[in-house]
Amino acid sequence: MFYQALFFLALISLPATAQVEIISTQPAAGQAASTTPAQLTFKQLAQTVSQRTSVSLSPRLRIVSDYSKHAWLWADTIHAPHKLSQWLKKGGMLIVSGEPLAFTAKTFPATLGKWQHVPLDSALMRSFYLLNSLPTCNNKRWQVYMFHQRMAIVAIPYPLLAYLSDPPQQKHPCLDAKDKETHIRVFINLLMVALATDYKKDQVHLPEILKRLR
Amino acid sequence: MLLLILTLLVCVLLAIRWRKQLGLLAASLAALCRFLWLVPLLTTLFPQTIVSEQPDSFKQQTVHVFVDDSDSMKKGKALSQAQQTLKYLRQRCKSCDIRVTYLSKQSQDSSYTRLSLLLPDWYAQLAPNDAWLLFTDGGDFQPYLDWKLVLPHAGKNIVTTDSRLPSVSKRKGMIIGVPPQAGKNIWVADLRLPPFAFADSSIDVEVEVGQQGLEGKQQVQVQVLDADNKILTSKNITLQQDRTKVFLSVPPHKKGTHIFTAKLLPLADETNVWDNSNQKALEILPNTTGVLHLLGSPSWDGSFLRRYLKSEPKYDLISFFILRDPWDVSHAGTRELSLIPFPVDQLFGSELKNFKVIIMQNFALHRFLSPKHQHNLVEFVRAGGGLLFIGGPRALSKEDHTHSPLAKILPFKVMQTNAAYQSDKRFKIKMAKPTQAQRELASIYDDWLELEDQLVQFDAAQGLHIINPDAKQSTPLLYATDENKRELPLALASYPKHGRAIWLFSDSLWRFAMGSSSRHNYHEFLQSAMAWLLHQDLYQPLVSKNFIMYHDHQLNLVWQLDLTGAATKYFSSTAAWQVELCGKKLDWNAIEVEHTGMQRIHLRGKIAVAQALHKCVITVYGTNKAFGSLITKSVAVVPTLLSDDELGDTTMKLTTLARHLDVPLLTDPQAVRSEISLALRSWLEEEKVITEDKEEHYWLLSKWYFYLFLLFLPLEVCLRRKVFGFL
Repeated sequence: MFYQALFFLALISLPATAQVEIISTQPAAGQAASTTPAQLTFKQLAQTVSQRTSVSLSPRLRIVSDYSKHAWLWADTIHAPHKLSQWLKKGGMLIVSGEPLAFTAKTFPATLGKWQHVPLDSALMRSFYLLNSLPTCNNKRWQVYMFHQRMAIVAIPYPLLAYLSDPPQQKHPCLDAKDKETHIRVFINLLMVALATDYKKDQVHLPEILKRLR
Repeated sequence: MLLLILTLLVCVLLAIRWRKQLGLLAASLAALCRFLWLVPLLTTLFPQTIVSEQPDSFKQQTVHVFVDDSDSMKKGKALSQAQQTLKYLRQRCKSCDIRVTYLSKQSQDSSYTRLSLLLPDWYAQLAPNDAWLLFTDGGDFQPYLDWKLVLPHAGKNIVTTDSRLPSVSKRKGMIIGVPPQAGKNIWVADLRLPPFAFADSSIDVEVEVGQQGLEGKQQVQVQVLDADNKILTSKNITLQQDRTKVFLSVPPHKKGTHIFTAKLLPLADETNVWDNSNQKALEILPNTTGVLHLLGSPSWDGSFLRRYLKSEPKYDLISFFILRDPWDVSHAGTRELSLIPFPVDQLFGSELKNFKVIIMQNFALHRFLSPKHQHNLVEFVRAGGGLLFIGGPRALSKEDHTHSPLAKILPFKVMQTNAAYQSDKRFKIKMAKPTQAQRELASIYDDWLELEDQLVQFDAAQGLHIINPDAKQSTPLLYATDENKRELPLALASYPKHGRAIWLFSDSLWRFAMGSSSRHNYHEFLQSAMAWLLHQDLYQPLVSKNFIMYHDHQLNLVWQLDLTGAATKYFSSTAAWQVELCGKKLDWNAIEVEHTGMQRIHLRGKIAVAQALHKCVITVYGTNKAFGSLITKSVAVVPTLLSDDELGDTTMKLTTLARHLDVPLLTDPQAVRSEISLALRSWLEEEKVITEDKEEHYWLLSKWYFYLFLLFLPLEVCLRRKVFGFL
């Protein structure tokens, strides 16, 4: 009983974790043009992430003019691809949602990295939830740009962030209210890939690594 | 000149005076004779400057001679020839100071030639410009002992920093050996192994094969064997030259110390086979380093650190990330989650020792690890592991820094009762000012100093623990300068017993990667930290070198070892330092300690050996508050003893000795005298020549025409006595 009480006290005294902010250079796609950046919130999403994981997500979208010192960026369009390349080389992660495929293919040709559809054994499919597939939109699939053996760009064929914002935008033909749980899980997996990379691989290879170390 | 004219004038006056008595012709001739025989006297008034050249070397030259008069030398004519050569040397170089040392005077047992024992002492007494001659057949009672170990400060390309051992000019020495015995012989002249090798990687081995007496091409098989005499690899070669180098590849071995033997299959009619093999020890290191990464919550700092670790193939990384807290609700069944049960008992129990570094990042120990596992983790560090602590909101909770086992190794106190992490604290980075002694041990500081420009320009740092460092138990590395210009500890180094730890009190280093001109700087920063934690720093604080074991005159095993590094400044013959040899702890009374230089200590001792040893490991442990605990190890092969009778032909030892000392080797008795004569002339000509200038008044006395001048005195007498009637 005493130890249970101690454990409970320990839970109460858990310090707040540093919040992860969603960074963007413009309002999320699908938001009304009259909406100011300060009004864009993800309270429900932040609460869900906090309830399900150890990550604390900021409920506000942070609009920045200079993204170079941030680790990830959500965008519909990006200018100055040269700067973007430098930023990716330093470790930045770009998530492009909406109708990004034309932009991404042009801006990042296969000479730097490699574009590919998200394979079933990708970290994105198992970083937290086990996913069988990723939602598609008009037969368009998720794509990733692999650079330095990591996912440097994730191209989502529909406006995921707008859908998960407060209030949810449901006007997009590819987004259905019934699938909200799926999109939340996809978002959490994406968040885990960004923050923990391919951490799960270590666990898969654990016996082999231990054998090698002995 | 005036005197000369006056003399001439006097002579003219004399001629005038003598004219009435002798006539004009006779008087003139007599006066001329007077003048001429006076010339020698006049020349004394005109001295000449004499330049004399006197070679000094003969007066000063010392020639040291070592004569190996062992049984093997007595058997043939070698010893009598050596005596004759000595006699010749004394005749040829009469002014030389010839100092002869006989092996038998130093060692009574002539059946075992203790050349490897006596030669180093004799060699060490040579002054830099002394000439020396060594008469030996090269035979030694521990023939497998490498001359490089016996005479480490001799030979070519040696830069001696040890004041005890003068660097002897290689040009003034010569070995007078014996001709090789008749018959065929092949030998392993050298076995070269890398300084260390990695597990699971093949090992490159070089075997140098010597030969004599072979006619034409001869096929020989070279083998490399393990300690159980199992053939690891072999190669058939054709011997054509005196020396042939053979390169072999040995299959990968497990980590640890291994003994490798290079062996040549004996020729059909070869009698001398002891020299067909040679052994050496090799340390095999693990080719990857186990790193355990504990992350309290997925974060950008964790992500960037993981990417760095994954970019280095040498790290075998296992991550223990807390993706969800125990009270989280995932709204999914277990089968829908990818969360795999983590083998905590295994990892923090029996497997923990296989890791080299644990990274504890924003991690609350007491929440996710049982007290037993926490204890194991701390003991892992105290036993020699590395700990990279990185702060964050979840790190240094009150329970961790007050009650958990971690509290035992914290080199600081948390200034507030709880975690004291100020997530909004913005700061800039500044290099700390450790003392020189601290810097020598925490070499990571100098590595980070090279990144100083990038670090001080970094202005996006945010989030800091406020702690109070223990100055005695930690070395300050970095400061965080806040908006009030206060200098707060940002990075510390400490030495928990045998281990090393780095404490970073912020989780915003990832911003350094994004804010810096290149991600390379961030990797350099972490690379330095990992290298230091893994004891892979360039200047190791404690290094054991030149570990050698050999038999002394009483056939006890003597060992000697050099310790170098910054930690040697703290060396003392007390319980804080321990030496373990062949598995036994040694008493300090049985160890001779000599401080041979800055950060250099020579240890020496002897042990009685009850049973035959093949190899021996020496381990030195040092403990001090300045560096925690350090361990250094070396391995030596114990040399086998052989008597002169068992040795037979020792051409291999003789040639390797000459090569090591980088001096000529004479084995042709007919050529010895002429070669020594040439050598002496060469050595003496190198000496400086003394040049002397002086005035010589009687210089004419040394000239042949001086006597001609003297002839004019009796000629004058004859002229004045009118001896010559015709005048």
